[in-house]
Amino acid sequence: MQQLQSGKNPDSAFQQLVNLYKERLYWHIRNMVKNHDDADDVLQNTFIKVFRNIKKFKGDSKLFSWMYRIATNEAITFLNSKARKMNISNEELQEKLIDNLESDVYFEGEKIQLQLQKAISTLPEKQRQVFNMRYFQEMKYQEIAEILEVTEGSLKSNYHHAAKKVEAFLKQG
Amino acid sequence: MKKKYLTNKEKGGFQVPENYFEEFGVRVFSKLEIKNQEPSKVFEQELIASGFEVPQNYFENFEAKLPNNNSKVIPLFDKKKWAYAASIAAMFLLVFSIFNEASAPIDFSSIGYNSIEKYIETGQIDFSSSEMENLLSEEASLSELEFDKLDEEALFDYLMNNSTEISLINQ
Repeated sequence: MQQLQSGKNPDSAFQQLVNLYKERLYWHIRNMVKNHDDADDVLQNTFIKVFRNIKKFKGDSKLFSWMYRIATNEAITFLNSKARKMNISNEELQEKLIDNLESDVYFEGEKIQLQLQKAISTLPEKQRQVFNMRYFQEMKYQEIAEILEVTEGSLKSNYHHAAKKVEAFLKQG
Repeated sequence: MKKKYLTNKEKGGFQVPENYFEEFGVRVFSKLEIKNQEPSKVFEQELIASGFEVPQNYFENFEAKLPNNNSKVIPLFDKKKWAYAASIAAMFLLVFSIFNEASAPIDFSSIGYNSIEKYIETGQIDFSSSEMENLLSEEASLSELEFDKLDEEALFDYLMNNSTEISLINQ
């Protein structure tokens, strides 16, 4: 981190940063955009943004929270722009992304996993983000709160509601 | 740590291409190298990729050739010609407006009532009482005036203020 900010040997320092966070950020993004190619694009843009803005990082939050925040914003921007290009709403885009999973070569989930993805796609955006981070990435509430810049109390409430809705959806199916 | 992410991956049902993470770093760096290059270098690379080439050191030796300052500058618009044309047009306008005004017939209906009233009030026309009588007899007879509709009180006030014939009031 110090090497990156001071500009001494930035390539090697950045390589370390990429190696350390690429997988965690990839799965975070993949859970949001669903498709591998899109996740790859967003992940690359995330690291390019991190590289360009690393000097602006003041250390107010943890480095990983800051990078997660960039990744989250990049993924949301990507999804909004995709919906706009397709001339559909964000809800319709979520449905489309799930429909595409059935023919996706990089999705080998069983029927129950597809149902779970369908259930998640019906959640409001905030609840979807919290559910993905808590359920799939097993992140602590404190970490999620730091990334999304919300209180732990509202996060717990969001997750609780999301989990209930997902459960109800799976029981129906 | 890696084991943890494999577990998560299985949860979601998502998979990635083989060696994706191993090659990812290289791809990000190659993208960063291109993005961090000076714009001219990127532009040069794109030109070569599209099949176009430029002579060696073309951009380094490029200089804009300015025209010689001694050559005579011919203005696109001649001020003198514009002045002649404008004065002729003004003359035509003036003549047209004069003749147009003279030929127009005089019509009393175009004069406002207020103007006529003011004209009489200021003493520009001084009608004598006999002239007024003639005018009234020509235009309308007294019998046509509807005295019945006159308010008695208003009539009394008028006579008190304007008439010198006391006998008329007493009647």
